[in-house]
Amino acid sequence: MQVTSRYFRTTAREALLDEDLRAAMGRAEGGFIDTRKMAVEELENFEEYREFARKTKNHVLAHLDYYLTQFESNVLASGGQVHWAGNGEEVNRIVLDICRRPDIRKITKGKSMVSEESALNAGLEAAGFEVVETDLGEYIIQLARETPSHIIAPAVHKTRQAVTDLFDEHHREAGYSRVVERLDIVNQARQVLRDHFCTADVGITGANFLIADTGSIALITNEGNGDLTANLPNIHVVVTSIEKVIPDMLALGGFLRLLGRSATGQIMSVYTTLFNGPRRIDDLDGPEEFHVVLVDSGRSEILGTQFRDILRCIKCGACMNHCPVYTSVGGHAYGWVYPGPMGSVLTPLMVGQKKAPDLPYACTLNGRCKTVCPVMIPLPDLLREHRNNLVEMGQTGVVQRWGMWLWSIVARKPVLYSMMTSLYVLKLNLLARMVPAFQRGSFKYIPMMGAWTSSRDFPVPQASTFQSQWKKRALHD
Amino acid sequence: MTDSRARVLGTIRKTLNRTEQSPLVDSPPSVPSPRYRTPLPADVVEQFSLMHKRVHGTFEAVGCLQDVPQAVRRYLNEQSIPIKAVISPEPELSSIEWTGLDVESRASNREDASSVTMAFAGIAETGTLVMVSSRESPVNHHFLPEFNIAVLKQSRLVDSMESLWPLIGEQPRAINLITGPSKTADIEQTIVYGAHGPRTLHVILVRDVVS
Amino acid sequence: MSATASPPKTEQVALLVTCLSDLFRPQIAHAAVELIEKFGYWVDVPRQTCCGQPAFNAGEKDKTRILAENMISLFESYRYVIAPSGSCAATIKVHYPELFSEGSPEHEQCMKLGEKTHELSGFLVDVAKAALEKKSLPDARSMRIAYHDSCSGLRELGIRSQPRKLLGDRLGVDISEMSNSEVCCGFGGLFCVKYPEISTRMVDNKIVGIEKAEADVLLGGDLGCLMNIAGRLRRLGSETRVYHYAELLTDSDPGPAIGYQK
Repeated sequence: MQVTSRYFRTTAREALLDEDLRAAMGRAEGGFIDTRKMAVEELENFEEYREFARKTKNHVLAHLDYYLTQFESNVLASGGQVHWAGNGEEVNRIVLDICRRPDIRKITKGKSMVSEESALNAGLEAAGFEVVETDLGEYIIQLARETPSHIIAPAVHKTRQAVTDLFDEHHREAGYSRVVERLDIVNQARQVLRDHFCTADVGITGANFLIADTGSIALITNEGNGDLTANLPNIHVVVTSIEKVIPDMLALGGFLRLLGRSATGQIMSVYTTLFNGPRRIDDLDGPEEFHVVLVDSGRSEILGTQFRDILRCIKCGACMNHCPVYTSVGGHAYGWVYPGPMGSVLTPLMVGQKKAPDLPYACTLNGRCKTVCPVMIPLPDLLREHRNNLVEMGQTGVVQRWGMWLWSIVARKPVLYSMMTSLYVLKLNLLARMVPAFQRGSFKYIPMMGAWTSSRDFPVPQASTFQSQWKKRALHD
Repeated sequence: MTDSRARVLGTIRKTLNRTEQSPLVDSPPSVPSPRYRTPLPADVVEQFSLMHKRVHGTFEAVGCLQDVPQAVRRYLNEQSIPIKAVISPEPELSSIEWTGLDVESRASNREDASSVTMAFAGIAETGTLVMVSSRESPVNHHFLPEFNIAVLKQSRLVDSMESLWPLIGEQPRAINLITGPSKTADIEQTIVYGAHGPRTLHVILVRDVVS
Repeated sequence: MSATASPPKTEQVALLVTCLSDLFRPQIAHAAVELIEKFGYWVDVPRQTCCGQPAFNAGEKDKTRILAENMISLFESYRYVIAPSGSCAATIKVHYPELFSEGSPEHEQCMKLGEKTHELSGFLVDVAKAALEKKSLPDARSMRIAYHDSCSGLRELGIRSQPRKLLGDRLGVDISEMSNSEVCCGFGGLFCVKYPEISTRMVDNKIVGIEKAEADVLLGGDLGCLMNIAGRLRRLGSETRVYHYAELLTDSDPGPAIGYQK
């Protein structure tokens, strides 16, 4: 997928002016947060599960080669095929190689964020295949020619009105009428997509977990689109990434108690399916071929850095649901596949820091994401690590660099500091006295501080600094 | 793509400061047992039905397998749909006398409005149906029809997922853990049932356990 | 207090004034001194600069380290170090140790300093076991007070019940809780000037919560957040007044709110 993260500042500003987005995000924010809270509070030892998940993922990451090869040999044993992809180009080439057969034309897709990384849909379409996204949210944004703005609710930014218009535009020709009510919209999508499900030649899905000791793919959805995508066509291709492997089914149970609750406040998602290879000899349905594409795309490198913790991510979306920056600007401003806190950590690592210079700073370090992360990723700390790296590489702006330098000189010397601060307070007080409008205790404008005063008043300081007042008190005593 | 395999595994080993395959020196952490603030009903049937209803499923219990056709008929009547269904070609379902019902035992297709399936097990903690695929239990029965009726024997109820795994011997092609009917919240984050899979999920519990 | 009566430093409480209070609202630091002294502690204010929080959050680890070393030598001999700000206290308590490698003498010093560093309300309630006497504010009963939980104090130090307890004891009123009391106000230090539009949206969201709670007064424990919220409220012409919680706990009248003058 094309990276537009460097335009964060501009796109975020535009997003703030989008009233539809504001309405859509406002609705989503409350829903996600409240339902999660209720579901989490019900499980008394939720924290114990978070700790379990953190430790399990750390354990797997420390033995990643062991678990991946174990997983691979079990997939092979169940009759599936395993493909390794070092980068996005290889992902697309592998999938194209599987699909390039005379009788293959239509491909259905279940939601897969990993396939968004390499813009697999565009690659398949360029090669002449018809690609149909089947998750309702993904289908909507496919019609709108957009990208997901949330990792589990890809069309969260779309209002119902927008969906009504989109469906009308795209379905009218096939004889469908304009639908306004939610149920009618969903029903129409059901009918349209049912045709695609039943006529697809290949189904591509992602995976939520890879179970090493059985070679199973765990796929979790609420709509059931993942299963119809996987079961109906003759070929099922799973595009997934290497960090999703977990040891066994027992571990899966632990993760399932966290995932649904964290993502949507569900105790359990509707469909949790474990796939083990292709259709068996006497099975009445299921695909003849089963392929697993294991994608690296920089993850093995991240493993060796101070950012390893981000590889624990199980893509639940709780961090973005609880991020006040994300809920203000929406997912598209982040400019790549993964938005919100986990995206701000991951994107610079996967596309290069130079292509996403703003993301590590697009955060107030308020820490709410860290407290809801089911695998306890210290997201604010990792964003600060990014900032450290940018400083070390000299990649911060001139103003910040010199400002910080000057400030650190002053802050190092208490006498100089107290002089400068006293002077500053004096200056502001003089300014306040000069301009009558400021005498009511607040500045409407201060030179060089427009970024603050453009939308906020700034308080006129009380007469002198505390430390100079304290010195007087000490002398007096 | 063997090159990529070597490269990916090579990078992993390099970043983990190893030259060859890591031996597993420690076992993975064990999974905690869940503790609920409001304790779940002690009786697994009650627990299952409570959790299943919470996710918009419907539930009834019958005395024996022979009572199933009548329950299915009644249910389909309530839904105002034709009294016919595709059933899993499974010995117990096939042994039932399906009087007054038009049933076909085969793989399902998109014309089938309703299906009757036999659950491999049920998980009480979450109200989840467990379906294990085989010649006798095709997978599409759970997804294609609009109305899915699952027969669950009380003896197959387990308390949690942890108790389920030992019951499954060799891995089948697919294990479907199904918790309620299909749904979506992709339009304005408001739940609508029947997104792609069944709109309704009705469980008929057969009391095959002598109390 | 006379100089001769002063106990050894190891018995004294050092006040970490915090830059913002030092510069813009000394009244908060005075209130902190009064409250700590009320429970029999001797308060000292060694000449100080900044804990380094802005540098730390900007990714300037080297510069923060120098400031941290300054702060350690300045404060390590005191019995307690108290700050009327959750984020400054958390910088010392939580983040200083991250600046030095584990096992180094500096790391050890940071850990020790961290142990005795507290946010003001946390210190008063959890350490000094303070029970404040009720004071009679003429309009306290009819006043609706909302409380903004500043992020650092809340999530890094667990400050939530402490200021509410102090306020309840002292004013005899319950907090009118906002549904978004634990959501960031958009200040975020440099964030608010780096991304002013996003920051403004965030503070506007906060103000929706304040309005829903129909608060006459908004309190909080971190002056940065309070200046942000007060500045926006004032710009929007709101009647709601903003104070640091400590200002309402003292014996004297709190005077004009943040951004107002007599």
